[in-house]
Amino acid sequence: MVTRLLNHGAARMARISLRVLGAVFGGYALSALLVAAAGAVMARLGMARSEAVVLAAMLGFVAYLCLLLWGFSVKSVARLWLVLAGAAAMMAALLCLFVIPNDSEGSCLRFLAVLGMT
Amino acid sequence: MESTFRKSMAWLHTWAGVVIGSVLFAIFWMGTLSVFDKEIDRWMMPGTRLAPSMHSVSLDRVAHAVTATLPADASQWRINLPTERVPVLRLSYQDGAGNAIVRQIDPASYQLIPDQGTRAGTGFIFPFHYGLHLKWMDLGEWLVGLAAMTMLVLLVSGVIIHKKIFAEFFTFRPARRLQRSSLDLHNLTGVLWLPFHFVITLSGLIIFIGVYFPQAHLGAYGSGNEAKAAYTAEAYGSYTRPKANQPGTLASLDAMASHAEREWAGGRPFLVRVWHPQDANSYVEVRRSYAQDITMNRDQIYFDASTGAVLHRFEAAPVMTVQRFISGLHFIQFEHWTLRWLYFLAGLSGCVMIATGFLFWLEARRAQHAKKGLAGVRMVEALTLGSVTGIIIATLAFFIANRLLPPSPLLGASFAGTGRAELEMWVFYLVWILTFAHAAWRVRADPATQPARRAWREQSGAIAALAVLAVALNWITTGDHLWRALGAGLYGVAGMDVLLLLGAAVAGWTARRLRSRTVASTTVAPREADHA
Repeated sequence: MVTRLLNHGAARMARISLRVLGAVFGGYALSALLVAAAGAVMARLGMARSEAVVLAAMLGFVAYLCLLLWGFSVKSVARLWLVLAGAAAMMAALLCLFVIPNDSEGSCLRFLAVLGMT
Repeated sequence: MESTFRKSMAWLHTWAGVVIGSVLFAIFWMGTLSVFDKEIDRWMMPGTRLAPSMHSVSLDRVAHAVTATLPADASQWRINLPTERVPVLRLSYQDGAGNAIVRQIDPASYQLIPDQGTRAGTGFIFPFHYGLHLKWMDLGEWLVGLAAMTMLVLLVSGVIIHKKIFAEFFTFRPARRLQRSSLDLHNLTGVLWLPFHFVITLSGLIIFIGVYFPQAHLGAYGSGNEAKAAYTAEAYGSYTRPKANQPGTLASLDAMASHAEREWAGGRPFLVRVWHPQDANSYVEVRRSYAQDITMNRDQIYFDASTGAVLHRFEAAPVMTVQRFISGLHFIQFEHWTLRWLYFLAGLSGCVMIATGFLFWLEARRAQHAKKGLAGVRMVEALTLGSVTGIIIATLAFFIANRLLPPSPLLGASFAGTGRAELEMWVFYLVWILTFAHAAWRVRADPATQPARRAWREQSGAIAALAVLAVALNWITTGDHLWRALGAGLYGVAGMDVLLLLGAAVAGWTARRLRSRTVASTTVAPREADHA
């Protein structure tokens, strides 16, 4: 009985930790990717480069806020992580399409490494 | 994560509030004070309490005075011109060791005002607001960013979990149990000022797009320093050119300033910066004032220092102007006293909202935790005390230390290796830690004796006493009592004294009420008003 309760408590703590990590850090990582990708897309569509970046960055906080609220309300932690990972992969792929032609000195992989560090 | 969306939001609101509330209160408290940071400067730097200057400033005379004091290896120096709120010229430069030096210049005599030995409002309180003075890996700025995002989450989840948002506009039942009245006050301040809280928090984040999304330009510009520099130049208009390492001269700064005024159709400069002074490639940056405008424009003109020819001029593009407008909403650097006081009141209401949120959490659990012997309420109560009354006490101790420490020359260059300005900050941090220790020590007693009530009473009493002491010390050490300050037109100094006395009255009244209220009034049925 006691061990079952402990296990239950430990599992709950683990789920909550994974959710907080996913929503706060995963949500930020995805927002940052969204910002970089949206800046690239808007610049490609004809907006002045600097303007596209500033607009994307300002909207990034709203995107992060939505991701946080969703992250703490979605039913399962597994789904939280799956959706975050899937969206991040899509953004990274999109970025590679736009970045390679713009990036004279680095490759797509190097770019993603930089992104991982910041 | 809970069975319904609203329950998830209630869980999130409760726990995000308890975990981040302390940092949030510190940010809101320091931000509220920052509304009057320049007035706090005048109070803490008596040597700068000058009457507003009537004559226009000659930048060439400033340059002459600056060149005499500037170290030979300074990479740049800048002058901020006097404003309605700042009667002095502010000179800042980096010395050879990379230290940022700030000095004040009297605009009537062009003499350096003796170092006042304090960081005061603009140097301590304002940077605390956005960076917590934690410089290591920009940890402070990131913590403030996390707290700000949490604040947005708290505001949205707070609205979602409300059932009767309209009724709560008008509901405050101060005579009811503390649990009910603290919730009323939490809702009242939260709902009534909701637009302000949301806009002030989001705009605070948007100011720092470069800090919180440092990689934003990577998609559009690519990686590397060159890409970053291109983005900065295109978005913010920064211009730079390398040193020539040949001696150079400085043409008339006044001529450059009037050239800029003509280009801006009457707009006036507020900042003049000389890059690479004395070098042949030296250049001068002139920035346009936004004292009459919400938008903190990025209008700037760069001149060749030796010829006075225009090298580069910049005005922000539309989206960047929106960013500067949103920043201006947050910084309120425009001249408008009514709005400034409203910002101050709205900031205080944010502090009340955070503090009453803590109180409601505590009251909803106090009886239950006492019965089960849980430590949660005790720990959070000590945390709340130190975060709310504690930081107010520490701020007052900072003001008092400012008036009690002898002036820098008397103190010697340093005391035990620490300058006067650093000593003031140490007083702040030590007193703040002491308030946490006092709270933790008090709440350890038997819950039946209501030890927390005693801690709240004692810290409120300390606020009242220290605030009065600060006003008295200002009088004794500078002679500027309230009537004299008002008579001399030192409204910033007088205003700070008045606010200190008002604060003392509120804190003293609170301490008295905490003494007289009956013991029975705080025992509650657990989790009653759970819907909020």
